Amino acid sequence: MKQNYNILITGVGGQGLVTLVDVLTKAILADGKDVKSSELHGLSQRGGAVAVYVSMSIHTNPERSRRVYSPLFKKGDADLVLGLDLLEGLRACDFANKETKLIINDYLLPFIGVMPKEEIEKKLQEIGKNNLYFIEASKICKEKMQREILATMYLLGYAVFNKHLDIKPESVISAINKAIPEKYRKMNLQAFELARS
Amino acid sequence: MENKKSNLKCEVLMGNEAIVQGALEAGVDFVTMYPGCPSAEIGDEFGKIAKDYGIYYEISTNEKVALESAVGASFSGLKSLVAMKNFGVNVCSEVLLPLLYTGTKGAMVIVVGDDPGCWSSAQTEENSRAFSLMAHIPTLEPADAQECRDFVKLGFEISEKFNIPVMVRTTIRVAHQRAPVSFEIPNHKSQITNGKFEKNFHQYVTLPPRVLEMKKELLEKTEKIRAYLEKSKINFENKKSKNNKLGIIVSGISYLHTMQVVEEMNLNLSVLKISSFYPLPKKKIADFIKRFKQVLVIEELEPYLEREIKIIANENGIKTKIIGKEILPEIGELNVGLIENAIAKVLGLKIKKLGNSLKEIPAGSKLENLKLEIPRRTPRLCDGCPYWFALPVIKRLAPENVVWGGDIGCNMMTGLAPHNMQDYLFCMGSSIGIGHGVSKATGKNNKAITIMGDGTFFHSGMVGLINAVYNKSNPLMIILDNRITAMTGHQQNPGMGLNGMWQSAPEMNIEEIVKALGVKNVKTLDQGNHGELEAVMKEFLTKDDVSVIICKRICAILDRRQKKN
Ligand SMILES: Cc1ncc(C[n+]2csc(CCOP(=O)(O)OP(=O)(O)O)c2C)c(N)n1
Ligand code: SF4
Repeated sequence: MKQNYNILITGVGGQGLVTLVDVLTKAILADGKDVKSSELHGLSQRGGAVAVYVSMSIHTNPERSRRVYSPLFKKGDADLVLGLDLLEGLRACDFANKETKLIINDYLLPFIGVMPKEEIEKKLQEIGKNNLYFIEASKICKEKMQREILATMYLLGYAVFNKHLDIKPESVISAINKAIPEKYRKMNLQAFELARS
Repeated sequence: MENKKSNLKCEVLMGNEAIVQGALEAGVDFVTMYPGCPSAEIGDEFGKIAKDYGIYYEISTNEKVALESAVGASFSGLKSLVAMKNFGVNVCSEVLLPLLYTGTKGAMVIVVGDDPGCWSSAQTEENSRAFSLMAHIPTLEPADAQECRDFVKLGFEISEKFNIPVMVRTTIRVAHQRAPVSFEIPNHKSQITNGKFEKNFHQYVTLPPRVLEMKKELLEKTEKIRAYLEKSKINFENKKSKNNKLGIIVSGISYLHTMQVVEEMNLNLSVLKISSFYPLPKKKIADFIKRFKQVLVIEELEPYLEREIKIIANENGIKTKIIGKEILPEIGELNVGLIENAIAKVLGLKIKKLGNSLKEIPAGSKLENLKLEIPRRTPRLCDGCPYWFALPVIKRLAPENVVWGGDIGCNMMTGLAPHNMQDYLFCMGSSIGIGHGVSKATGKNNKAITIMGDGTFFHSGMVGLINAVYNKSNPLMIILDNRITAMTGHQQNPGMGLNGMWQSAPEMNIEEIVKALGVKNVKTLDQGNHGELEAVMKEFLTKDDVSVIICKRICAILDRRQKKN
């Protein structure tokens, strides 16, 4: 029996995935749940595709056998995909199943040989159907806060406030306060709150 | 979460952060490292906090020097930590082997990060555990972030008790894993100049015939440590089952994947986690395997543990069938899916393929097709990277018979499109060493042009250049001096004028060094200055001896960062 809630976050090196996973894992612990994650640094970050795996226990203070053990989950076992880029969101679908929620930033970092945007969107629609949400996170963060990089916090906010991710907003706020250096704290909190409306 | 009664805390830490935490709690005084994935963040963290704790931290020139530096500190009575990636052990092995003979005085832990799957490494999928056997170094393998903290602490304890260095071997999914970790707030402050070297010729000088006696002492010590680890709870049976059909032995990260499978599939199986790969608790293993008809050994990469277990079975006349690599891959990392399949296969179970995955959707399921159609996003140089300026010019001016020598760093992307300027790639520093051989062997048939970063020049590139000068060959060596060791996350190097703790330091001038090595044709220029680069390269291509062009311009990321601060 599957006992974890599995989140796959995908994007491109430099989009702030490491900060996002730092905040998310701290928020999950603040919520009283068990958590493990796995991320990649180094070569894969130079503009390459990056995938971060986060698993959290469904229950708070889980008994031993219901803990999160592995930091990686299987293909088909993702419950939520947070795609920071359209193509990388599509790539994550390898780990999706019929019920997986797909929250995808409407944003494409192009490269030589990339697929046309419409084609990516069409494929995502075929897979995600009613569970697909295109969110203009980068666009909104750029317009309202002049910083595309905050799209990570906006997407997290979207997932939390729309109950796709069972974590209390207070837990995320406390995690941002803990994980983000003071200089950038306020804007990260703002980007998160922006998704509340 | 703060525990009011004690100074216990529980926080989410990354494996590497937990390693730093464990070292702080153990009271480390002296930290040396050479950057590399997946262990770089250990040093980066010490670079930030060392001063607060009175700890000495250095980024050494290479791993051999890093270990030598720590040996000096250890013989002077200080507690030291050394961190490196797997390839670093190759470089420092020359020091490591005799260090086991001499033993340590102040405790020492060496953290080594392996990268199964080569997520962040070129070169090879190296399994450092081979060095545990060769050097006889006690080796602990954490599976999660908590064990990272615990095993570093324990490593210092073992080192202290037995006067031996201890290796803590992580892999990328351990080092870059985040999980809740319980730890204590350290309250010590180091004072490194308190060290004192007490002479001990008998112990620190590996001259023969004493050296053979030292080997004997090492082997005896190893048996004492084995006895200690037999009783240690780091080698433990998590699930104990009466089922005598199958037992499982796991090491490292495979423990977590295996427990996930066992708990999710509700399997009634015994799982023995072996955390001390060297020396192995032979008795505990023998007692375990004799209870079962079959034992499945689950470990990543080469079956070093499996082989040892087969030997233990043999030595004890145990008939249990030991299986492992016939059903699990030796290449790449393991995961829940692979382990689930392996266990199911041994037990003769059928697992529903991929649960309710999309792959089950009948006709119209796009997934298999989709997978093939998603174009690969290969790594590339950042926008504004200085290498974008120099590489096209160098390529255009190269003669048709060029042989491109590649090296390690951001600059190794010369091997990818759109550059395609690489005919071989080995390890740090080898572009020039191999280029010399090509140059010698081919005379006028080929022209070796080698490309190397500044960090690598200091690490091991200089010796290759000396060889080319001394033995008279004529490669053209390009040094891409971006003023930092970039690939591994931007660490300071001797050319920067800054040390590991970001304090000012003597700045090594590459051109002066190259000249001092006897190179006649040498020029430093700006990467963006196409005209000068073109003129110099044309001139140097006519020379019969070694030439060096130092293309200097700051890494774009470093530049942006400096401007921001
Ligand atoms: C023996 C060894 N140690 C460490 C590493 C990890 N590593 C990969 S690239 C690199 C640094 C390259 O720096 P530099 O030569 O300055 O090139 P840049 O990345 O700046 O282009 C290091 C240390 C390695 N591959 N081998
Ligand atoms: S990190 Fe610096 S050196 Fe490396 S690709 Fe980016 S700009 Fe170039």
